[in-house]
Amino acid sequence: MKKALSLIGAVLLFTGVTVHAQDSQMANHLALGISLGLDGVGLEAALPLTPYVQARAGYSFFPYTHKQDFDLGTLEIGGKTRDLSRTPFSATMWKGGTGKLLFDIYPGRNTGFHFTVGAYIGSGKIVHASADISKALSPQDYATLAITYGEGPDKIRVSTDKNGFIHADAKAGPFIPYVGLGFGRAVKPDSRVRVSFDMGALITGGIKLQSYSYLRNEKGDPAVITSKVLVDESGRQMDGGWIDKICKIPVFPMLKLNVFVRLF
Amino acid sequence: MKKVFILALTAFMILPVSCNKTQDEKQNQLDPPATKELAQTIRFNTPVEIGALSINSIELTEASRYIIEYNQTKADWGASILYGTYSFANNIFSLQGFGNLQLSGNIVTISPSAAGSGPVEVVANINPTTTTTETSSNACRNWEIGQIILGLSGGEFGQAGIEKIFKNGIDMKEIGEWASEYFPISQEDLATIAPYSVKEICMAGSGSFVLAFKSADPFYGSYTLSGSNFSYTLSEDDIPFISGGKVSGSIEFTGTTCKIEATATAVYEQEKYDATLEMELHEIR
Repeated sequence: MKKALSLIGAVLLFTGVTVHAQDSQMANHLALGISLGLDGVGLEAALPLTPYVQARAGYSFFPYTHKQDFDLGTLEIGGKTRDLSRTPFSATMWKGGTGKLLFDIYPGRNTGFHFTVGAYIGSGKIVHASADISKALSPQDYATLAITYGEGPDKIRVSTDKNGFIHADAKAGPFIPYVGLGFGRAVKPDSRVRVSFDMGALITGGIKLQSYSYLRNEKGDPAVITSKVLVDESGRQMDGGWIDKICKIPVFPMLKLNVFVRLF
Repeated sequence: MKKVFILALTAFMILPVSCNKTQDEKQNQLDPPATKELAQTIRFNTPVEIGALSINSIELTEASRYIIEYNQTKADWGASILYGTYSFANNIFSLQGFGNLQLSGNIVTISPSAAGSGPVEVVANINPTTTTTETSSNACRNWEIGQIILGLSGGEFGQAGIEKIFKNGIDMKEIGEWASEYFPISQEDLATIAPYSVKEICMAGSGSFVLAFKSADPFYGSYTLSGSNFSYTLSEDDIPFISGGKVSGSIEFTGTTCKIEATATAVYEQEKYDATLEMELHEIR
């Protein structure tokens, strides 16, 4: 993470120096574009800072939500068993959308190939899932009854929100550095429409799998679920350690296609 | 101008995801309790007989409450204290529901309000109560309970457990009715616990702890404070399901709100449970 930040800082510094030297190139064109990629669909604005550096800023969101009924078995509290065999489940990505600020660095004045550094900024919820268990609980228990698991500082608490939904996220930090490479320039003075392509990696440094309890905070207190927490009474990890392994993967891939229209 | 527009546009696009709200939280402080200067404990060398009571001590708290400890004459669930509100005027303490007290040196004159009981004048040890720390000074008040979070784990739950929030304090009717949704609780049990809805908690500088109910006799015990560590002990006769009658945890004051997080070990039908209680308390003025 620190290295990525240093890299971005170096690029910005480099950009500043170059802008000074090539002042006549700075921000004299603007293109607006749409993007389609693993971050969803988005809008981007691009402006060349120098012949070697282009800045892009934008926002994207994931327009698709997968919905399916799942058999979650039963929930037993006290002497009562609640049926969760047909639980409506939905999942989407990049909850709340992401803002982004990217800098394309071109090795030559006229090359389309470029390196890109920058950052994605948002909730960090790369995957968001929710399950509707409202029919399994009394309405008076929505956001007021939590299931706990484990003990001590690792104890997790999970409840529904006020509508009877349980939420879970695969979450990175709110500021995710990006490094990658790509092809194409968003802005070229002699053409109105441009296409560019990005491929790279978001440096998440790993993610957290977390659910929420809404008892103390209506926005939800996170409950981080780890393999260490999910142990049975004999001390055996119920997930075989897979949650920790997946959560430690430090990058998330990114592929993106952009189409820009030069405004001036 | 064009460049300014472009840079402004870019900044505007970033702004919604990078701005932070700042919140200026003004915190109220607790005023000194109403009768802080009058707080004292009156102990009698030999119990004073007033009507059917054999009184060991009378405590006047920092926040207008009196606690009269008397010898228990019956062994069922019942209080060994009289508990109520007092006021002070013309050098006389008026103990609502009991009578008047007048102090002169180490002489106490007790004038019960009940018919047939004349004034009694006795020698006593009278000790003013002082609080030495900010936490104890803050704690020595009467509190009503706001929201609570009850937690139960262990026992039949195994590794799992439950937590439930109740917004209206310790209302045993509400808690009992909710619990009966999940646990085998009879109507008779519900009727038994219903009167024990908590009206107020009294913490006195002397270390006395009173749990006063809306429709039942109060529970009396003691509490200790050490930094932010807090514990209270009630009679096991009163709370037989809590091991040792002891509940311990932490206490914290934010503005005029007191938050207690406590844990206890509970035993029910030979199963051992870990019980937690988070209480938000508001001062009664």
